[in-house]
Amino acid sequence: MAGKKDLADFVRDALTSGRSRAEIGAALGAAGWSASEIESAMDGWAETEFTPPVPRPQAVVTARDFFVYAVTFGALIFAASYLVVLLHLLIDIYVGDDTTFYGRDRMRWAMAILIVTVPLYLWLTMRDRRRLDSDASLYRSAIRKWMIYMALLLAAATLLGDLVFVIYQFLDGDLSFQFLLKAATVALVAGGVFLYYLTDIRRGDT
Amino acid sequence: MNRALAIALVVVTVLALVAGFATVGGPFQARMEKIDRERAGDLSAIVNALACDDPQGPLPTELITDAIRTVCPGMFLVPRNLTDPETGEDYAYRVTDEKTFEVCAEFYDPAMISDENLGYYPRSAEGIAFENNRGCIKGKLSER
Repeated sequence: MAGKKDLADFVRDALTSGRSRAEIGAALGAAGWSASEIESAMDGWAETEFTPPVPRPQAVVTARDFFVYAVTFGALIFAASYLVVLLHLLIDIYVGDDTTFYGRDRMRWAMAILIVTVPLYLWLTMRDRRRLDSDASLYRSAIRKWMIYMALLLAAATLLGDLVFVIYQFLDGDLSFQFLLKAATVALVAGGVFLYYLTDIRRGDT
Repeated sequence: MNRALAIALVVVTVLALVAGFATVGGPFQARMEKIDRERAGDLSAIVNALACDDPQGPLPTELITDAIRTVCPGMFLVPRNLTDPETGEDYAYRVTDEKTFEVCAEFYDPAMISDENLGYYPRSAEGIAFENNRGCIKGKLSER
């Protein structure tokens, strides 16, 4: 059973010995590789007459990227969730007339989290943006892509869950102004995260 | 687009934090609230200890542990704190007539105290109530 490494080596050797791409594809197909595997193996090498074959850049995974993006992602999740919590508590107090100490304690907790995570997130993100602007190869970080898609997934799931909850409350007859305001804050924060990373990933793809 | 969203994040966060501080106040406010909550808990524990279902004696004339025990000897729990957590002074205790009494504390803001800060009795029993304006709990010996 040959792995991707053998496949990549084979394609390189075949290209080096002057075989055409069609020939190589046919040989691989006969050996049982699927069309998509063959295509991605071929894509690893630029289509030029130059020999030896010129490698195309590949996505890279580094421990440094993992550290930076895991911290960024963690800060994003905490900042977004506790921004929502803080706004909900404010709505409870000013719209819902909640005066319990419990709500005030939770508010202090949310504020503490925001004071740490929001500046951290902004700093890491702006730093990342500067690095990307100065070195486009960093767009190939596989971990960066994963983080962005994770953020998109979570934001999309939150938005959908929010919508489901609004509809449920409506059907259940419990739709109040206070609840709608809260649902709107969730939608705004999750929607903002979604839009931000959607434009981010598009920028990286070009 | 991204710049606008980042600015929006900063603006919303700053506004939320400012609103948060305006609502819950700073550390001094938090400290006052904590002490007030402790006072409310102490007062309701005292009322609790005196308002058992089956009182064995008259109301004590002053608020000391042994005297409290004579009213409801079966009560396992006696109030731990009979003095103010901050000033160390005794809580004000007055017997208003044969069956009723009140305990008071100097709250920073008694209006903030709600049912959740009080024990079971002040909330449910007849004739027992927290007076938000004065910071006193009026108590009553059980009729049985």
